[in-house]
Amino acid sequence: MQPASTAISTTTPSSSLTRVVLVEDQKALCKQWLEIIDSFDDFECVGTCESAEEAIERTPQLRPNIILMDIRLPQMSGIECTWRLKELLPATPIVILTVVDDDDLIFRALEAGADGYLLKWAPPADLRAALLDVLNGGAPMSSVIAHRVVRSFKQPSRSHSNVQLSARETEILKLLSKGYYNKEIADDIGLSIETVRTYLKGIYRKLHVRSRAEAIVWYGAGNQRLQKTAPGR
Amino acid sequence: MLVVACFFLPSTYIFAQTATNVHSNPPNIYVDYIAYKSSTNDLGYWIWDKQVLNKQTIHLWKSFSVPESSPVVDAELSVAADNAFKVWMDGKELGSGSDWRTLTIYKLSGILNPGSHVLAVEGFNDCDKAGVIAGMRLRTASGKELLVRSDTSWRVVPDSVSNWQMIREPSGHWPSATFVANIGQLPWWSSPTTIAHVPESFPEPISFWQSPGFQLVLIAGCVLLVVIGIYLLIQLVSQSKSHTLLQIERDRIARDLHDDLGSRITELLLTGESAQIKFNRHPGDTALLAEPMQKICNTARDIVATIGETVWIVNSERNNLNDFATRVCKHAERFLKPASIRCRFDVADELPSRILTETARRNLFLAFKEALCNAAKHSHATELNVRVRLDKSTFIVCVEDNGVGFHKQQTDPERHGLRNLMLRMKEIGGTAQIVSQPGKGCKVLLSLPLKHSFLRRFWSAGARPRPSLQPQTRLHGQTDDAAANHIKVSNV
Repeated sequence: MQPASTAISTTTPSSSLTRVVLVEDQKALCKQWLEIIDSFDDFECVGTCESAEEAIERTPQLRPNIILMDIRLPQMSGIECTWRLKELLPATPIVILTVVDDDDLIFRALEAGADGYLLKWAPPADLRAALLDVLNGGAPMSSVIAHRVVRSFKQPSRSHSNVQLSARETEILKLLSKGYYNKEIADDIGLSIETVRTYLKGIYRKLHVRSRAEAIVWYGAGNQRLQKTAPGR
Repeated sequence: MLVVACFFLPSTYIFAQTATNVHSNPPNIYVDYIAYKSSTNDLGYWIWDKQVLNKQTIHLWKSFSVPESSPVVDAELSVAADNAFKVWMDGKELGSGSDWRTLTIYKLSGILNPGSHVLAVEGFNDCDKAGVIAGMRLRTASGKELLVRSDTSWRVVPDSVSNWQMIREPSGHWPSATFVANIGQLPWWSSPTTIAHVPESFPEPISFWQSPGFQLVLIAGCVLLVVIGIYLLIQLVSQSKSHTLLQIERDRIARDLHDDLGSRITELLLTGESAQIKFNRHPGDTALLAEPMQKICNTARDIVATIGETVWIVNSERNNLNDFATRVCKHAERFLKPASIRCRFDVADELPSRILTETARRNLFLAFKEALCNAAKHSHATELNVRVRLDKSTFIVCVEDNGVGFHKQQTDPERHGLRNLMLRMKEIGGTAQIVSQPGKGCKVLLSLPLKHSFLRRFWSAGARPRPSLQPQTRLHGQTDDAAANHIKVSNV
């Protein structure tokens, strides 16, 4: 295997390369990821963080184009970290990495605002494809997750938000949950594949907005309380 | 516990017997020969039935009431009969007498509460003349006196009436008693020769353990103990059963880990070692490493997938029908991807959150895998439908392909793993139905009734995995690999 470039500091920001920040607590794994990402011609890893706390502190300065986030982190979880980073960098896509194909976790990460997810043991080619897809506005969604999203929107919202899926969105999700590919869906309902992708992106956003109010209660309450009781206010 | 209960029950019965005896025991009677006052003052006159016969028994009945406002403080009942009598108050026997010259006097103050009462006298005539004479004086708290005397207001109860001593209301057709003679009129006495005083006919105070309430509690306690005993016994049996099941399951997982994961990791190791040896022999020839590297990556990926599946089967948090449907879809998607068979799902939006036991989960999932594997290997299908639904209380997983199909009779069941599939479903109390015709695809319907799953789990003895199933039942074992390889080859 080609020895990959590991020098982060020497890499000067270049507009042609996609800047990746990696959040992963296991050093050995982190090193491997770094090498794999750097081995892609069009990607560079501009920073690695070993904890969610570090990621929240450092990521904004690193100005990444995309963030790879391990779902299991010590102390603050990858899901909560995703919530917080989405507040700081709403435009930067976040892709969740997970060892276990647990749709419950993945679903929660999507609610937190993640833009995609990937199994850690996926081949590097898949990783690159997934990164490119997300950067190009794609929203990967498996049949199982699609099913889950439909079910979630059927239940009354926990945050009392009135975000609902449109008929078209529901239709697309139903087809996805039946195992249709984006292309097949596009053919089936007479849309372009790009439009289907846009719809999926919209569904991701709705999922995030819908669960946001509740998330503020969970994750943001501490901060709000601090601000309210801060002297001079 | 049962033994203790068995010991208690008969003894409780004895207690109950004793208690009733205490109530009806005639109190000690002493005969007062000297102190005769004017006991006859309270008496009425001799009465009998209209007819007088030899060896005749008659039932005399009289009701009276004690005013609600003033309780009785003192009561005396005097009775005599020619030839004999038995007397009851409110159905409770007070005693008897058999000498017409003797007047028997009962003290009754303790048992006459305010309200209505029934005095019943059974008279017996041996021969010739017959009569019963009685009188009762009640003194109430307010100092008032109440007399109940034998007279024609008494009623004669027909022999056919049972439990007549307890009847509170007289029936209209009971005839009135008939006047026989006044007191002092011959042949009877003007004053009795003897007076027998029967002291207070209170039941002796009974100890608390003899009281009916306590005995009721005791019986209830015994019943409760028996029930608890049986419950604990059931618990014990089911626990030891589930313990055995757990043990079997644990053994199986250990075996899977050893056989499957162990052998794959060894494979990984050997691939690495042999690549190293080759590389050492021809240093610089990096092309030698490409193939083993690829192999190592693929094997490692398989191992991670296997671990994921093992963890899922053991994970008790992912044990309901929805989780199962999810797993089934995920597996089908992943497994059929390299086979270029399109996979379609039809899963009920929301399955009820009923639990599948670990054994059911494992066997149903492996049966599903077997069906999928068959389709991938033999069907040459382009599309495969997976349907998961709950029909009433039967959980149904259906795999249907659009492949070449087969004649069931012409197929070697061993080769297609169909026998295995059937056995698996049978083991968990379900069925596998396979419908296929040449050129018309194949449909495998796995149905598992969920009703009485608790009872089935509890009583079913046959949860032990059949050894004959083992070789083909790796979680993610060679069957799948073989199929996957087959697919890859056919794709190339």
